[in-house]
Amino acid sequence: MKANKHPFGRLGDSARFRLWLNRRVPPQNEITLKLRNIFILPSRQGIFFSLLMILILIAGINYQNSLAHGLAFLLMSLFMVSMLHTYRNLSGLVLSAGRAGRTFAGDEVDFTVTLSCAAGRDHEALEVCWLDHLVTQADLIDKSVSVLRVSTFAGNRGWFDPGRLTVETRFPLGLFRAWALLDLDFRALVYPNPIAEESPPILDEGDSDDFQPVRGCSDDFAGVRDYLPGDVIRDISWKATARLGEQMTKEYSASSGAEIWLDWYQYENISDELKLSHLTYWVEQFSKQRKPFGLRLPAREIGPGLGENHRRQMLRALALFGLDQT
Amino acid sequence: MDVDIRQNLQNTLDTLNSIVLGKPREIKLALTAVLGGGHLLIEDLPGMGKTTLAQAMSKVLGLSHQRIQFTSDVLPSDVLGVTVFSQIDGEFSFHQGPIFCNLLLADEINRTTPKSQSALLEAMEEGSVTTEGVTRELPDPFFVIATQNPNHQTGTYPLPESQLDRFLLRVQLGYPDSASERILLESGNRRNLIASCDAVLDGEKVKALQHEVSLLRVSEELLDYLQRLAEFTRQSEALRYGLSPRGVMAVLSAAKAWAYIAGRDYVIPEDIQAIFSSATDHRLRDQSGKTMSTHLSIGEWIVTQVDVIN
Amino acid sequence: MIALAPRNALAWMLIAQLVVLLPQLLRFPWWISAVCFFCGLWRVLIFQQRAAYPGWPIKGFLVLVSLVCLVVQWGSMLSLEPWVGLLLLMFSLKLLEMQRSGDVYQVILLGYFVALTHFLYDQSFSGSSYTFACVTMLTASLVGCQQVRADLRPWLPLRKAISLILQAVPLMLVLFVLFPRLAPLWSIPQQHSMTVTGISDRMTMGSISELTQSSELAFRATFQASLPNSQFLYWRGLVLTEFDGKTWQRPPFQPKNRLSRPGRSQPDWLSERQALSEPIAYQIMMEPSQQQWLFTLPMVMPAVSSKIGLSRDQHLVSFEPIRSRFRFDAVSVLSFRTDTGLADSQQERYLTLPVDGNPLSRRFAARLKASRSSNQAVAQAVLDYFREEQFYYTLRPDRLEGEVVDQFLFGSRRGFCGHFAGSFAFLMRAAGIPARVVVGYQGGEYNPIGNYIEVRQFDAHAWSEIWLQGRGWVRIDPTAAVAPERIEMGLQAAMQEEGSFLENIPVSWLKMRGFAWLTELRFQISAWAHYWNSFVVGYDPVMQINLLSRIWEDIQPQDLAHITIVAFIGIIVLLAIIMLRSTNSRRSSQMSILFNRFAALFAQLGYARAIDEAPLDYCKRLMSQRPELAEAIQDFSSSYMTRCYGNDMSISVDALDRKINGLKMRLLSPML
Repeated sequence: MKANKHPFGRLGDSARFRLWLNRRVPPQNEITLKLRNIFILPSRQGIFFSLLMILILIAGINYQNSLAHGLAFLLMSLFMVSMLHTYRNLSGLVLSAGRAGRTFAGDEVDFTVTLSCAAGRDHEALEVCWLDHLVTQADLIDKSVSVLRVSTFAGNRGWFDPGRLTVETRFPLGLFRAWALLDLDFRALVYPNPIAEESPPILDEGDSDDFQPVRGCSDDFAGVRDYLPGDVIRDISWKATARLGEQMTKEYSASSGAEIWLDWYQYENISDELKLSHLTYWVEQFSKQRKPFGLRLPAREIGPGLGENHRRQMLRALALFGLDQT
Repeated sequence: MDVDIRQNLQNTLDTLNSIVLGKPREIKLALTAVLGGGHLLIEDLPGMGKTTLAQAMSKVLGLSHQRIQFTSDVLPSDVLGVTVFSQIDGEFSFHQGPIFCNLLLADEINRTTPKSQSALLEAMEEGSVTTEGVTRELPDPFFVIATQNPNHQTGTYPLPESQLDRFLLRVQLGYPDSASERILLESGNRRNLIASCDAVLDGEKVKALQHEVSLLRVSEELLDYLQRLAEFTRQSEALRYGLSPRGVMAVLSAAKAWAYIAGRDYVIPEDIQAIFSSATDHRLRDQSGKTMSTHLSIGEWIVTQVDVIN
Repeated sequence: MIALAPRNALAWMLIAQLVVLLPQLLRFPWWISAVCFFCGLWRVLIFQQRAAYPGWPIKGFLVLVSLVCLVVQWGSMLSLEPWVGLLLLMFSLKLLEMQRSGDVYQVILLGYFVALTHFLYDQSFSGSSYTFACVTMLTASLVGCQQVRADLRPWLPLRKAISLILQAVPLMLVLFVLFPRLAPLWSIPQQHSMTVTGISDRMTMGSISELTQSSELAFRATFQASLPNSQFLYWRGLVLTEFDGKTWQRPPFQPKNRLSRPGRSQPDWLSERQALSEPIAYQIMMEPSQQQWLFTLPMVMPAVSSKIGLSRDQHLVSFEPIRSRFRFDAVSVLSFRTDTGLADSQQERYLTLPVDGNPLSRRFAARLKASRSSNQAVAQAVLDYFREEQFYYTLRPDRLEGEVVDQFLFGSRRGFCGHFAGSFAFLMRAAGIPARVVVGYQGGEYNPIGNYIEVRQFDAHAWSEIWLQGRGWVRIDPTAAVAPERIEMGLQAAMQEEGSFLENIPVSWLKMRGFAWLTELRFQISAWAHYWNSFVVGYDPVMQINLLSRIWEDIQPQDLAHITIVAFIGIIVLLAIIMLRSTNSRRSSQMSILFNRFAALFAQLGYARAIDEAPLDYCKRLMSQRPELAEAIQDFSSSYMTRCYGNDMSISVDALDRKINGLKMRLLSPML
């Protein structure tokens, strides 16, 4: 794995270039690589190789050696033929956008990309990556579909557009580099970066300890959850542990019956983004503890609940808070 | 598709299933051979119900039928017929052999000599009998349902590949499942049932069915798949030789008949896969030492190796 | 991060390197091989993970020692060899620090350069084929650097390289034929250790005998019209005039005897030559001799080529030593007169003898001169003497010391052409007849397949020329008087009895003339080598223009560049079309593409289609595994089956496409 530099160098940053690229290779869910969107230039090795063949030609001229001419011409022809092969290794490849992952701001986010090609064609040694990010190797040898996971670092919360995907190859000789810059119209949902804090923003409706899941003191069995260090041995559910192969802890719901609400308005004097980060932290914490809870945001309220869908709904609300929802 | 004739087909199947128990797939294959206009070879150990199936078919299809029990002393003339001198008319006249019928049951065909085998198989291929320079047409439709013991049994003359090629399908019956066997044990000999059942079809209907089968639609994609299968048999190093064009055509006509029985008016890859092993196992030989996994037959193995979608 | 070179690529590269180095190691001093093998062995040990990379002190030491050895070996860096040696050493030493794939590339590129140096030493057909095989191996290691999943397909690099090279060959041939051939751009170090081969410019009694044991090729001559008779095939090389009692040598340079050069004013001696018969034209392809003189039939006309001059002694001289195979055209007149009016001063030169020595011979010559009326009769008397007395033509003469001419003529009487020609010229001069010795080749073997005469080193010969009033220089071959079969049939026939033909070479094709098919095969191989040398190795600007003017009349060298570019681009476009068409013909049908898209959707979710799973079966499985999508899958599959297998054209591809997209939306949209 290696980091990839922008294939167009500093040119890649200019706005005019991006406009041109958008016209030439417009964003699309599924793109077939062809003459229009494949770029090809000699690689560094290719430039050395052409210098070499010029040197050999000069040697052939100076020694008036016909076979050295022949060698120089063979290398020249090989150079050109390898260009065609490198181009062919990309052309006909179909890339389509798959599922976009979800992540927290600043973390890596995965995207699924499907490579497919006509049957009977091999596409070897392909490298797929987002600009300036880690390269994923792929190939389509003896198969016509390959599903890749390509990751990059997510930016701020909200909808994240990873930009253009680079598909690159140097096969067969490494003398040419053929690549395509594709906008697969991906977007990934990025949740706010969770930031820990001491106590949760819960509206005081009685005893503030009530938010904690009550251990052992109640007969109201609520379920089992992952073992956390510090749990009392008495509470470990040995049955569930044997069944699942991981240590599980029994949980009992609070008998007070009070609903837990994470409340935006409990915060004062901190920025909105920090509020969101703290709330995200608590959503994750409560979800881990399998404690039903609700979330109150300005103009949005999500009732108490449990489960993965509930968690996602809350995180989505936090991620898109104050942003254009589309 | 004609509703009447479809109903007849379903009745045929039902009747056969009630006689030969627990073998719906094999019965469907046997009917496939008939509708595909080819001959059927039933191969299994003695006592597995080969003859019962053959007899039941001849009865249910309502065709004129004859039976030859092949033994090592059966001569070609016993099959084809013989020319005798009639003292009364003072001239030679031809006495037709048992082969002049719509459906010939050739029992234990591999127990007779190659000479008699080839007399029968020539007739199967040509659809006519030539004796002493005179060619006589066989009735239409004409099928042979032959049964044979596995070749490793004693007292058999294995049929050469070139003659096996003339059978559209080869069906192996196998042991019945326990439920069917119980019914069999409780109700006694099935052959008594054959006598009591009625003919569902007749010669004209069988011909009509065959005609309908030949009209089924076959798409380019399907032919591509069929050709890929054939190409694979010819390229594979695991096989001694590939499928002949006749073999490929046999697969196609069997697949059409199978699709017809399934009630479709076009052929899909599943049809080819269903009959492929029955249509090709007796046409191909694997290279010893390069055998595929043991529980698959050659045809089944080939199907697993070829991509259905290109 | 550092991209490490893949192991398969390394293996390919090591093999390629060995193959490329091998011929050069055989040519170069042993210690270079030792360094190469040391580095190679070390690298193989690293490859097997049994050794580590050497540190910089070891590498530095190796480089230093190698450089010192190079300078000690060749004295200076002014000739070609130390540079090639340096290249070989660099190529090997680089192995010890080859870690990253970039390093592998550098080594492979150096390898191409080493392959080039093969051509400086060996241009034969077999050698060139080997070199092109090397290039294929190097290319294979380039492929190896790019290859993925090498464990599954270890031979892919070689197969790919061969197919690439085969595709490159047409383009290469076009460039080879059309690319303008330029004159050398600047002067370059030449090989200096090449041994001088062929006839030397000194003839001590016995020196030619070494040549007679060599079957190496001297030159091939192709005649435009019919061949001259074998007794005319005297290939004149150079003229030896100075005799010191033992050795015949070339005359010192005299300005009066300057060469006739094309494009310069003609020296006056040229006009004294008279041709008495029709000229015959022929072409000579000389093997490199490192010497300047060229071999032609007498009397040769001044050459057209600017690289060749005609000497006063009527033979052609190249201005440069013949370092590589050299082709030239010559025209000769077999019947001629030269130097009919030889000046007295000139005559004197051809009469000079050492002041004393060989008294018996001098007395013998004086006796003959006194008893014969004409110079011609004196010469004839000497030839008669050779013929009638017990003289033997042998390749195993006795060693002569001191008064060599006396000892030969009146003592051993056993010798070969050099003895006879040398002593004849001595007798002539002693008798007052201007005489000189000519060395060159005589005869040669006609190759009917290639239609040329092949002259080998054992055809080397020496004979005499005497000057007769009114006739000029006349060739007298005393060997012909003793052993006429040598002239008519060649050396092998002459040595049949003695068995000394190529006696130092135990097995030689040339000795097996008894087998007709073997001779035929030898002719075939020789002819093929000749074609290779003429049309490939010898492809030069002149030949290029000759060849191309058959297609385009009055083509000019400056047009070549345009033609090359057009043809080059044309061929690339053609290749591109062929390659892209071949992909189209294998492209799957629209229906397959659609279904593959559908299957790819579910493959992402872990329900990949097995290759033998037919579409309907697959859809049924999907429906049972994803019941919530059953309806949509059913919708797609029934439409697809009816369209694809039922040929129902009322279902459009677009409709199927939309169904797939609908499924995709449902499958992939982030869960809300």
